[in-house]
Amino acid sequence: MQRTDPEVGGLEELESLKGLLDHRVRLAICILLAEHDAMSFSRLKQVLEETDGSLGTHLRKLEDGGYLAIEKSFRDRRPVTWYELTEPGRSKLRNHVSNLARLIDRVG
Amino acid sequence: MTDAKLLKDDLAYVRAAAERSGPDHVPAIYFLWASLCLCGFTLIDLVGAGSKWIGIYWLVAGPVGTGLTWWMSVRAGRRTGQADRRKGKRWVNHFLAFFAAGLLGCGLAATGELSWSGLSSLWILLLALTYFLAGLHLERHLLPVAGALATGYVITLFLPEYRFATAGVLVALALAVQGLRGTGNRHATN
Repeated sequence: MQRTDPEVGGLEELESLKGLLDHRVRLAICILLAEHDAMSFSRLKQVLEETDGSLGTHLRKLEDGGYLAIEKSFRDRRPVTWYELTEPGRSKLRNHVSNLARLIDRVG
Repeated sequence: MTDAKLLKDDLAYVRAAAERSGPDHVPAIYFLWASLCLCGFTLIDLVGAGSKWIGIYWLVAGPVGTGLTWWMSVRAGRRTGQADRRKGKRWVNHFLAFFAAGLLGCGLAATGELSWSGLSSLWILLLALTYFLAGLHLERHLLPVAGALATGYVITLFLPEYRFATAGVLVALALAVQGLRGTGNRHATN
């Protein structure tokens, strides 16, 4: 996300918002997984209205960043991949959301 | 696009996604409890409020209904690809609190402070409160059922005959209607 607005530019919170959760799809994935204990790839795809490729890329980035844990199972002989938020992921999300809230408070 | 506008759009996207991932609606659970309430409430008029059969019925129907509800919820969660274990525990705690309050209420009838018929009405009132709180915190479809239960409670106080059966029909209808509402808003994804 490119931020150029002088209204919000230069704020400390803005800097702290840079990182993996800077992208709205990755932020939405983490928020969904904070609310629900686990979600399958198909369910995330349905809720986020993303393509397989795009969602897969975002999930891989979050997994590599230590935000997500993966569990594979089978349903009707078809593989199902389940995603859960890790404890470090949950704490980073909490930080990100509180910085976001502070930023919104300051901008109004 | 400015940063503020981008941020707003991002938050709107996250919010829309969160709304689409709303609670799992399992109509079968509503129909199950509609049948259990209809039979249980009607039983009070049939065998009398002080009969041991009412206690036996709920001691069997309560745990069986809870077990079936749990099983259907887990199954629906696997089908849709969304597991809500913490929410499941909140549901259980909600209804455990109702059951505990109801059991403590039995002390009123056992010590003669309240008639057995009054105790049955009290259970319906407690159930109305439980459904109201569950409607506020867990599943808004339960709010009209709470209203039906509260009306049912009033009916049990003033209707001269078949009052519990009438309340049972009302509550069963409310549960069935809420079960039918919202069907088809989720589909299997795995």
